[in-house]
Amino acid sequence: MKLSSLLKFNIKQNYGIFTIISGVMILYVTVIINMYDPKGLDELIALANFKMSSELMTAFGFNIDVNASLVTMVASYFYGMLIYFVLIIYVIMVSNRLIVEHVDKGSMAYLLSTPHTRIQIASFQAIFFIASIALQILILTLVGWAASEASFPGLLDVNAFFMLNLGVFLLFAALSGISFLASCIFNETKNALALGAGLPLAFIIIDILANVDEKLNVLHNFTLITLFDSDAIIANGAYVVNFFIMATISILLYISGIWIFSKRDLSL
Amino acid sequence: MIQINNLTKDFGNRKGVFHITFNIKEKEVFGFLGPNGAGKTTTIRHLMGFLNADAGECTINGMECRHQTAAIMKQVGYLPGELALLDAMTGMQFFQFMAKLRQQTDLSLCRQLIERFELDSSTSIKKMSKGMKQKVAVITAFMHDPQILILDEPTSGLDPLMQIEFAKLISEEKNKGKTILMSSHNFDEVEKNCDTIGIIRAGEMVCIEDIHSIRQKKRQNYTLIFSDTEEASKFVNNTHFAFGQLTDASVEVKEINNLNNLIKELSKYKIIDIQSEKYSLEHLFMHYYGGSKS
Repeated sequence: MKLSSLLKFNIKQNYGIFTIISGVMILYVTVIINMYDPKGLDELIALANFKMSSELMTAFGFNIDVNASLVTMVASYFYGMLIYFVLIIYVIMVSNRLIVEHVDKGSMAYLLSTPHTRIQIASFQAIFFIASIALQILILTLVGWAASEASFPGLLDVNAFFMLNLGVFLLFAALSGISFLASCIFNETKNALALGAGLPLAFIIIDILANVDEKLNVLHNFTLITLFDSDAIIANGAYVVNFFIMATISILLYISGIWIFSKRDLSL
Repeated sequence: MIQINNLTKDFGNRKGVFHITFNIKEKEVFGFLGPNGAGKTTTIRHLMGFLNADAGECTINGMECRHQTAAIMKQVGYLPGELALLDAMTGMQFFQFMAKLRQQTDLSLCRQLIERFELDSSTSIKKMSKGMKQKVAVITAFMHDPQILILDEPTSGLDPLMQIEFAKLISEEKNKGKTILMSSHNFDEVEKNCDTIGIIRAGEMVCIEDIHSIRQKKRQNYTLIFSDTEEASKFVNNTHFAFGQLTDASVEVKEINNLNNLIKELSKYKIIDIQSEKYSLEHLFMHYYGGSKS
């Protein structure tokens, strides 16, 4: 592969953050799965209510009834909010390093002084980024599945769990598309961060606010996270359209990032 | 080989380059001179395809610089004006990184250059001094034996010995038939290394000439130190050269273009020392344009 040394550089630069984020997610999902009690979740819910008000509980996505299934509980307690905050850190840091940091520091001049077009470089970085996010979620899926089978054999709705993870991947493909686009547009890291970190974080916060109170429900229309509807996925409802929309948004964001990067003036 | 035709890029505030036109022939060494901020680097960035021109075009070997970058870069060695290496690597790792991206397998030339410039390539780039980083940049530009070299202030940060080594390298490359564009704000360096000189000021080309005709037009000042005051005043009273008396025993003769005449005349006097003034860009402008700077 012509760009194999760039791949090596990317891996070397990012395996640290990848491992930390992956480790945190694995830890969380394993702990949450082991909190499940097939006889009923009343104790867990009572404990959680003891620590937090019920508004706060719903804000964080912890809204389940006592007879919830394992996958419902994991969807609510982990895929409801925790994963956003953990995985978005990875997205923000890595998107920044892949393009704009090379431009800001000037090392992009070296990459572009080799026989590669800007489109080749940017596409390569985009593919690396998406693939690394997919790997994060693949690891999470496999560990979650294994942890469930270990503690509660046969109890996990594996199909729903896989779809849940595919949904989260598509959501993060879209959110990372924003960060990647920002990384491609700007010459300076700080500007790229303002958009590439600011907007995805705003979406997450809007989602939390929208969950707090019925009156704020309208806010659900202003965040990408609404497209990831775990209730619909578990109930095997109409989630395919949302998946399709998220995939389309991701592709558009990534392609425009690459395209803009190939056209604009670079401050090198 | 390198053609720039009416290249214009306006950054506003009278910054940018305006109607730059010049040609560098195959096997020519072109010195691109100008003060800081005159537009040398901006012009070079267009050649590298980093910027979109507002007007005009540049080509390298017939290929359009903004869009045919991948094909162009197969033949080009580039040394950026700003040191922007990948900090996390050692020098050697960086060379291997670049070699792989260029699909170059033979690193023997790279090793020769490392030895020649006495670089400790096992040091991490983060810990290198400015001069060491500049050596890494020089080696990176030359190590794949490119036909065309685009060098943006290649000797900045190099110590005098390494500058001499660099000058040798340039002349060897020139003999190998390379086409070279190097920018500088040091006239002496360019005079030593280049066939043709182009001067840019405030974004516009003010002259493009070959080094011989520049040398002929060049007027040099010399400071003469006489053995004593008497000798100095004897010279001052008799000479027809323009001069200025500096101290009792030293005299500056100005705008000499025929050194032989001066030497003949000086043979009559007791001279302790002759110092030639370092020929600065400022002087070149003054002599070329009668001191008009705007």
